[in-house]
Amino acid sequence: MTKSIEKKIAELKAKARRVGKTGVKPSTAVRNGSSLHKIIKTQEQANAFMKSLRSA
Amino acid sequence: MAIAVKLDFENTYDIEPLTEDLRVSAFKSEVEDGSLVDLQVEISSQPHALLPSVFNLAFGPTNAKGEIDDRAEIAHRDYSKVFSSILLAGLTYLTDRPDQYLGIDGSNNARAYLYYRFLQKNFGYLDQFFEMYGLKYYVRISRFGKNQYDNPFDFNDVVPKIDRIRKGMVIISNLMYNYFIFKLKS
Repeated sequence: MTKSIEKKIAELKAKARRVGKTGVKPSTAVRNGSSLHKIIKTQEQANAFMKSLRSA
Repeated sequence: MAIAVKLDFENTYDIEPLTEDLRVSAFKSEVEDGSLVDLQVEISSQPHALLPSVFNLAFGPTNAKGEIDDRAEIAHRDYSKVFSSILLAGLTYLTDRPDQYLGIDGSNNARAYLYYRFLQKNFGYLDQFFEMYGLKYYVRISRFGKNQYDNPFDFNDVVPKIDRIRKGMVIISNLMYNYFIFKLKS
């Protein structure tokens, strides 16, 4: 890591310390996390998936 | 979206941390019409459901409720600077948490493929800072039985498989990783 990147990181951390705790609420995208949560969840979705496999 | 992204942590937008712990930060990106759009980078405080040390990193513009829209399509003027800024925010977060991993979701297959292209194109640069992994999910097929052909997949039994990403690895589009994971290089 170059000195200038180390300096940028140190500056960002210094800025963050000045911000303090603001209590920003996490976004839906972050709460949902990965696409694991976007894959098949219901029996209907599973049936539709199976149908698409059979017709492929 | 541009393909020719050149990542460079010395060429980023001015990142503003919004929380002390660096989980939330923001910067302004210039779009093609010359206007500025606020982009937020946010790291989950809760680990991934199947990977206890992996924390999701999402980014995008925020909606009226202040929530990130990670599916927004924005014509940025400088994609290299946008992605360098996002990853610098992640790198800064990881420097205080070397035991944690950050995960970035492709949100759809096309975008995941594009991220993988970015990653491969910048592998030499990123490899100085991160260990990089790709994750796929595998679903259990239930035991044979009369209902086998109704739905043999048990979607409550999903196993994550993680591969270390190496330079030049070729993956075809429809077998692309679901998720990209970054760890601070030791």
